[in-house]
Amino acid sequence: MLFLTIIKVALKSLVANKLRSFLAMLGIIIGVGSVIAMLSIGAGAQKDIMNRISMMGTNLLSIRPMQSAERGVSTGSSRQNLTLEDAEAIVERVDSIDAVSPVASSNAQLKYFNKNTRASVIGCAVTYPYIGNFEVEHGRFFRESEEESMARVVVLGSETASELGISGKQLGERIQIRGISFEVVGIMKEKGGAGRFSQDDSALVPYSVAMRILFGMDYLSNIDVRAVDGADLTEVETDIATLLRSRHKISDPENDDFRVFNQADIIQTATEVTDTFTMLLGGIAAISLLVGGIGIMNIMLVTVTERTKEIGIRKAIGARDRDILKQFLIESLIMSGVGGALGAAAGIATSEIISSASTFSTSVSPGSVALALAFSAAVGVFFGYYPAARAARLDPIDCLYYE
Amino acid sequence: MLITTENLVKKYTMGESEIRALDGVSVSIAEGEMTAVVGASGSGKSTLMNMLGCLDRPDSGEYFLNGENVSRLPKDRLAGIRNRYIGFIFQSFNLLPRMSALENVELPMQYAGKKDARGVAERALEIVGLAGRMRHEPGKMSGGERQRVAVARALVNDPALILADEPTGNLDSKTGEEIMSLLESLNAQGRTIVIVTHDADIAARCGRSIRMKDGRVVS
Ligand SMILES: Nc1ncnc2c1ncn2[C@@H]1O[C@H](COP(=O)(O)OP(=O)(O)OP(=O)(O)O)[C@@H](O)[C@H]1O
Ligand SMILES: [Mg+2]
Repeated sequence: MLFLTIIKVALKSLVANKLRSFLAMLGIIIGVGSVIAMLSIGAGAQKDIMNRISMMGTNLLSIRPMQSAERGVSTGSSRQNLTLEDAEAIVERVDSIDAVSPVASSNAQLKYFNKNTRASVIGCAVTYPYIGNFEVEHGRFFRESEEESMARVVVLGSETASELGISGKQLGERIQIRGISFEVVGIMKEKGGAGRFSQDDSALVPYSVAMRILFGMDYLSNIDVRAVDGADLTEVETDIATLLRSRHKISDPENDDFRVFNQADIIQTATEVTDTFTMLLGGIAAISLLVGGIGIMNIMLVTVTERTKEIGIRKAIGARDRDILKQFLIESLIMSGVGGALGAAAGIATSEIISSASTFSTSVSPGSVALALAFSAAVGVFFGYYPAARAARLDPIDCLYYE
Repeated sequence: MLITTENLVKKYTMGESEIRALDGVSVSIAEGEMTAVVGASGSGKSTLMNMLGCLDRPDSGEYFLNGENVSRLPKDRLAGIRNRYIGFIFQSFNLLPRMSALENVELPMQYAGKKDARGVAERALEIVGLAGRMRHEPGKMSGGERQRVAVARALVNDPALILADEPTGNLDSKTGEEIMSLLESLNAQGRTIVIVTHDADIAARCGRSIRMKDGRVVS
C-alpha cells in the first residue's frame, strides 16, 4: 500500500480524535520540550566556560591545593597547604615565568549604602589582571605599594559594581566588605559569561588584605601563573611540581598535595562538570519521554480495539498482517513525531524564556533537537509496536463479526 | 472447475460442546456460474462463504481454488488471493467510515499496489450508478447506495469470484432488486458469483442452489 495513503489515513484518524490525540501526545511534548530546554541550559553553561577560558589566554597555569593521595578534582578552598612562600619560590626558582599571583578568595557580602550584594572576593596581586587578561575600565587597579601597606582598596567586577549602583563617577567612594570599609579605586571591564561562571561578579582586593584582614587565612586558594610567550608549558609545569614537592617534602608524586592545572585540564574539568549536569538533566527529561511513550501505547491499544472492524474489512479485501502492522506503527510514529515537533517548539521557547528571565544562559543546539526528535520517533516505534503487532495478528473473521 | 471442496470441516468448541459449523462439505462450482447458498439460520452458510473466500482455513478437508489447493496456505498468501481473486459483499456493507466512497473503492487496488487506482475506482462507481456520489462518506449514504459502493469495491481488482453474504438482507425489496440486477449483469459478463440468501425469489434467479443443513450440503 502506498506510503502516502497510509500517512493520510493515519492523519485523518488522529484529527478525528483531536483531543484524545493531543492528550496522548502531551507526554511526548513535555518530554521533548524538557529534554531540549535542559540540554540548552547545559550547553549554555559550557559555552560560558569556554568563552571565559579562551579569553584568559593559553599560557596560564593554575596551582591548586589537593588532599594528598587523593586523585581527581577538588574544590581546593578547604585545603591549607599552598602558601605565599610557595608563590614567591615559583617566581624566583622556575624559568620562563612571566608573572605569578597568589590568590586567596572567598564569597562575601558587599554593602554600599542600602545596597547589598554577594560577590566572590578575590585577594590577588597586582599581576592578576595581566595574568588573566582582565582590563580596568574606570579608575585603576590597586598598586604594589597598596599591596604592601595593606590598603583597604577594592576593584569591582562590572556586575558587582552595577549591582551596588556604582559607576565611574563613584570612584573614591567607600563600600563595606564583611563590615570593613574599602575604597573603590576601579571598575573592571565586562568580560562576559553569565551566572556562576562569570568573573564579572567578583571584587578584587590586595591578597595581603584578603588573607590577614578579611578572611584571616594564612594559606592560598590557588596560585595563578603566566608563563612567558612561547614557553614549553609542560616543562614549566614539571619544574613547578618538582619545586613544590621539595618544598612540601614529598618524595612520591602519588602523594602530591597540589595539582598544576593547565588550560586543557581546566577545560576538561569544566566539561566534566557540565557534562554531568547535562546528563542528569537529560536523564530526567528522558524519563518523561518514556512516560510519554506509555501514553501513546495506551491510546494505540484503545484505537486498535475500537477499529477492530476496520482491521477485519481491510484484511478481507487483501491487507496482509504486515500492512496492518505498518499502518498502526505509522500512526503511532506520526503521533510521537508531531508530539516531538510540538515539544521541540515548546523546548526552544522555554529555553528562550529561561535565558531572558534568569542568569542562566542557554544555547539550543541543533544536535539536541535532532536527538530529541529521534528519541521521540524511537519512542513512537517502540511503544507503538506492541499495539500494532496485536492488530496485525487479529483473525479477520473475528474482526469482521466484532460488535 | 473454479471451486472444488472436499470434505471441509470447521469445528467450534464452546465450553464443553463442539459445534460442527461445516461437517464435511464437498461442492464444485464452475466458472461463470451464479450459485445461491440457502438454508436455515445457523446451518453454516456464512462459515462456508468465509472458507470459500479464504478468510478462514478448514480444520480438515481440501479446498481447490482454480486448481490450487489453498486450504493450508500461509496467512499472507491467503491475503494475496483474497485481494486478487475474490470480491466480498457483506450484508452489513462493511465500508470504512471517514473515507469517501471513492477512497473505499480504491482500497483493494492500493493493497494490490496498482497504479491509477483513482481512475479505475471512478469507473467502477459509474458502473454501479454512483457517479454523482463519489466524494460522499458512507455515513451520508443510503443503505442501497452503500451496498453499491461495496459492489464497486468488490469489482475493482477484477476478481474471478464474487462472494455475497446476504447482500440484500439489510435492504428493502426495491433496492435489493437493484443490487440483484447489478450482480446478474456482472454474471452475464462471465463472473462467477456465489450468493447466500434467505430469499426464495433471489435463489430462484440463480442458475443453481446449494441447500445447507447443520453444516452439510443436503442438495
Ligand atoms: N466464531 C464462532 N464461534 C463459535 N461458533 C460459531 C462461530 N461462528 C459461527 N459459529 C456457529 O457455527 C454455526 C454456523 O454459523 P453460520 O454463521 O455459518 O450460520 P449461517 O448459516 O450463516 O446463519 P445465518 O443465516 O443466521 O447467517 C452456528 O451454529 C454458529 O453459532
Ligand atoms: Mg450468515
